[in-house]
Amino acid sequence: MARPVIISLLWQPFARVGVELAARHGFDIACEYTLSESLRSEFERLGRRWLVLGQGELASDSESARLDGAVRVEEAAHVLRDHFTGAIDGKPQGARAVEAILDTANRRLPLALHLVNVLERVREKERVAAVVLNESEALTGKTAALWAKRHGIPVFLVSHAVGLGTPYTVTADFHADFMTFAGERGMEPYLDVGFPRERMIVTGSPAWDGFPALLTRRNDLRARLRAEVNAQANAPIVVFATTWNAKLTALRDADVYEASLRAFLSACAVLQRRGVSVHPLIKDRPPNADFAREAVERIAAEVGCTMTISFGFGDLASVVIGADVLVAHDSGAIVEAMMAGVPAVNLWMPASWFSGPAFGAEDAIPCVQHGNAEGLADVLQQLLTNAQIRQDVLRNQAARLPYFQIANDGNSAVRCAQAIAQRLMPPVDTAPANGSTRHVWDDVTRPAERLTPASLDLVAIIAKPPQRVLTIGAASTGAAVQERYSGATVITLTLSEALDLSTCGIERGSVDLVMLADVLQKMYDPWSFLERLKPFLCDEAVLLASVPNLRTIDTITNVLAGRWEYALDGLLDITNLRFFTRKSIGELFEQTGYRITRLQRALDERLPAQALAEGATCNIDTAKFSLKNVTAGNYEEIRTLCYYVEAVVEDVTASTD
Amino acid sequence: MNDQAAHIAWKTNAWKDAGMVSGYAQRMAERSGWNVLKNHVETRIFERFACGSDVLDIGIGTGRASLPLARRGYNVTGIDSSQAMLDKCRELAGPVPITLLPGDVARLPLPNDSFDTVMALNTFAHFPHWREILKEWVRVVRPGGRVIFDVYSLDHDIAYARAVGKPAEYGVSHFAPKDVGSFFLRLPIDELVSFADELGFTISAVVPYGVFFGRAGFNHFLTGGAVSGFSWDRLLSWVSVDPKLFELFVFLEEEIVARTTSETASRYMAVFDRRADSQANSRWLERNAEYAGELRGGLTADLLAARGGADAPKMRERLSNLLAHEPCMYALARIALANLAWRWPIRYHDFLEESQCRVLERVLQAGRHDAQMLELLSELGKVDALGARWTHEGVPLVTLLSYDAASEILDRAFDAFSPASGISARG
Ligand SMILES: C[S@@+](CC[C@H](N)C(=O)[O-])C[C@H]1O[C@@H](n2cnc3c(N)ncnc32)[C@H](O)[C@@H]1O
Repeated sequence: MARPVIISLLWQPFARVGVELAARHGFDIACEYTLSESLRSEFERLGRRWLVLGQGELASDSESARLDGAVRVEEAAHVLRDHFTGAIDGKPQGARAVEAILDTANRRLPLALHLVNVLERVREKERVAAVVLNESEALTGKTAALWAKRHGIPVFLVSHAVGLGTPYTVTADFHADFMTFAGERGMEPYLDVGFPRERMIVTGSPAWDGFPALLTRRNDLRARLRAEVNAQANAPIVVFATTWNAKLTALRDADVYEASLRAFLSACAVLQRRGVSVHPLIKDRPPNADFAREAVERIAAEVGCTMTISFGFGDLASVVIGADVLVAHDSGAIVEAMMAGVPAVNLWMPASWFSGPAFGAEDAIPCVQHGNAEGLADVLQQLLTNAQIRQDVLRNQAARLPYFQIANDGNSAVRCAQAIAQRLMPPVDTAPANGSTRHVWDDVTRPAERLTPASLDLVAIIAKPPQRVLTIGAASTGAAVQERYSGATVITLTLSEALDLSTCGIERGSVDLVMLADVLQKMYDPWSFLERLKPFLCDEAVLLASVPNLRTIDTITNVLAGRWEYALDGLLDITNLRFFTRKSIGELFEQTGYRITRLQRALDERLPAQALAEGATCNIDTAKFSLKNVTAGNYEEIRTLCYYVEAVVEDVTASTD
Repeated sequence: MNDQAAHIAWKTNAWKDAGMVSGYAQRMAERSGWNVLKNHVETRIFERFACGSDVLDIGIGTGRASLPLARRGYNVTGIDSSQAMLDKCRELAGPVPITLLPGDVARLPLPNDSFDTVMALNTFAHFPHWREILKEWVRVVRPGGRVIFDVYSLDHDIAYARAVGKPAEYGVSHFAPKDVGSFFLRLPIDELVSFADELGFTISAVVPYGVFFGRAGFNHFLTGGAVSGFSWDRLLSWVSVDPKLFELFVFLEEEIVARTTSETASRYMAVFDRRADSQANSRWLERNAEYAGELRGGLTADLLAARGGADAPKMRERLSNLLAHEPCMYALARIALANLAWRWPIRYHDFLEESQCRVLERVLQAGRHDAQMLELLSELGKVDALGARWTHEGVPLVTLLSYDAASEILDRAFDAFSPASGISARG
């Protein structure tokens, strides 16, 4: 079978994550952009595929999607206008909202339709193991994320920013199974909105992997920058990184761009009056160049700042490394300055107090309220003229950096790819690491417990809040239960501890929920374990277990082809000892004195749902053989990857009467 | 050992480990914003209500509550079941004279009628056998003396249940401790007062506190909103370097929260005098119930003055001064934003200057616009007739548009970005 594909919608600065996933973890990658010539030949040598999604045309829609979109918008226009004549829910803004969404649809719907079509085409041909994204709130990311969700494909969200502000309005509508973060700090806003900690991973931001290399060229970059802006020898460069209003919340200054710029230029004017020479440099984005020049000129005149002001429209990192101080407003640029070893000052605007504040008192970032030009000038003057203060600030900022960006070592993409691969079922022949050949069975002695998607699903199907929970296996299952039911007492045992429950300090008759996420198949004797478990359960105890299904189309075809390949995860996880089917799962529980009260399945989405009439059968043809007279029940079974079992202890008195 | 005895033993033993003690001492000394504030507000209550000269601090721990009193010349005795705690307290006391004795909350190694003030901080609320404990405490208070201690407020739990349209029982069970580890004693004020009455105590004051302390407070009304979580803690962190911001929160706790009832905060400090007056107790309870009812209808300066003894003009002046400092203004606005969800009617005009009200109103208006915009988006997504036509390969299309539509709706339906309606618009 072809290697599984990871669809990556990561932005260009994060491209390395895809490369790592392919090179080190053996996935094929489908993404928007092509590889450099050298990487391409390297990949060919390794036998990896690098598929280009929609021929690199994701940013534009196709003719057919455009037509499709137009038709749908027209249909919707009638429905919506009829439905909301005037108010929605008593709000007179309804009619205008309808027009707003229709206009948005006209502009954007074709692109969403096109993207879904492109993704569908990949899924028709390939086994899609995951979707990796930088965002899942805006059109592109959300489309891919919801599409993935619909097909049970895990979504990994690689934070594109440090994560300084709490998600708000539509940015709080994000979709991810796992998220990776630059540092602990970035997790906090997501913890605040309830994203579970065990699905967060701190890896560092892959976009900053180029930093260490740039830092070795500091002198060169400094000299270049100074020459470029023609800075006077005695004038240190003070960079101001501009801020935009994304207009996704009303709780932000509409004119934050100009207001923050004004605050900065006012402080420059104060420094000028004080005779402190500085060279201000406004860092903005290229498409904004004309606007920026116009605004700076106008505002500088208004606030009486007549010194030479330069502009930078290129890469922020090289500008910051070449500068002497950076000023910004609640921005990731501040963290870049911390990485660059350049003191950073944060500007508080009113909105800082609603979405943030981005920095706390312990963060070693001097913060100044926007109206306080003298205050900002004071801080800048101290940082530029008082070596002791400058040194202290730099030392404190360096000490605080790991909280924002875990390591400034250029290896974040490696960690990020590793984190993703670890949570997926890896392809069988992983690439040789460090020249030595690794086999799957190298892992046979690893502890069998680790986070599996199954353990998360299992938590999701808990029917009633438990009091005393016993989980066997991955500590993260216990953590997930604890996260959701903070009042519950959760005991987590490893597989070997579970061999002798009587020595684990569990009170008899006390446990009301047992969680066995992908562990029964790892036991030598799951039968006796289930029997020995019973005395520790209370009367209403419920047992939840996930058990992989052996009777799948994959195993059938593979065995017929002579293949039985252990893997690092899933049904053929190298640490699995026992294998089950629907029938043998039933026997496992019945014969040990339990009654199954609920059975759910995780389906293999590659096999389409089949609507078979009662008593009807179908045939399944594969390349080499056919399965004949498959009933609806048979078909459901071979589509099932994993069973989720809810069971209770069989009431003996009831069954013997 | 029965359950309760096991619980008491567990709570008592939890503090005996030296590592635990130094961890606790460190935590209490932490300069994080909420901790600095909590310490301040709690110790100020003791300073305000302590009477006489002989003070007993039960479960003294590291001496957080009573060392400030000892430093001011009170004659302080501390009791604790943990020798490690007593050692730490002695160390922190330095040259300040203080008597420290090992002993149990419910069996004090002390003679009858020996203290003017008996106090306990974060100790009473750890135990289920509170009646037994209070009986023992009354023994060592001199007639005319006082007991002061904190406990969690069941009234707050029930008020929350009522506010979200659930029966009182929901408040009782929903917030009930699930095990010994998360146990905290929650009492309704009338149950506490009735029992104290039997012991010959008269209620002197109830001081609710801790609405804004982030992690430590867990005010149900604010949990999960703008005044909770890491983000709020980060805002609070600035109180340790910004004296005005610090003062604002002290003001809110002392001048507003403290003057309300046990329904406002998840915790309150109870102050009882050792003097039997059943009539006074029932009068107090009656008035308190009336006040709580009135407060549910909204917060006004008149009410705070009439029932809570506030000096309205002075309060206004102090607040106005504080709010001239922008971080204070916006911190307050953020609390008002959180209250958009809670919908407690607060008559801001009673407390703020006209111009400050306008700032607040603009912020609240922006908050409402955000909420309404989201509601509109969700209504649009719910139109059934659309659902069928607006899915593609099972992907719902309306929701894909919400990001781009959000700014369109804010702009066109609410005019949210015009200079006149912005949160910092002047005038
Ligand atoms: C949460 S600490 C409070 C310490 C201090 N009052 C404060 O607020 O920082 C509880 C204290 O009660 C003490 N304690 C626990 N059980 C006790 C008991 N049965 N009798 C007396 N003290 C006890 C503990 O040793 C600990 O010092």
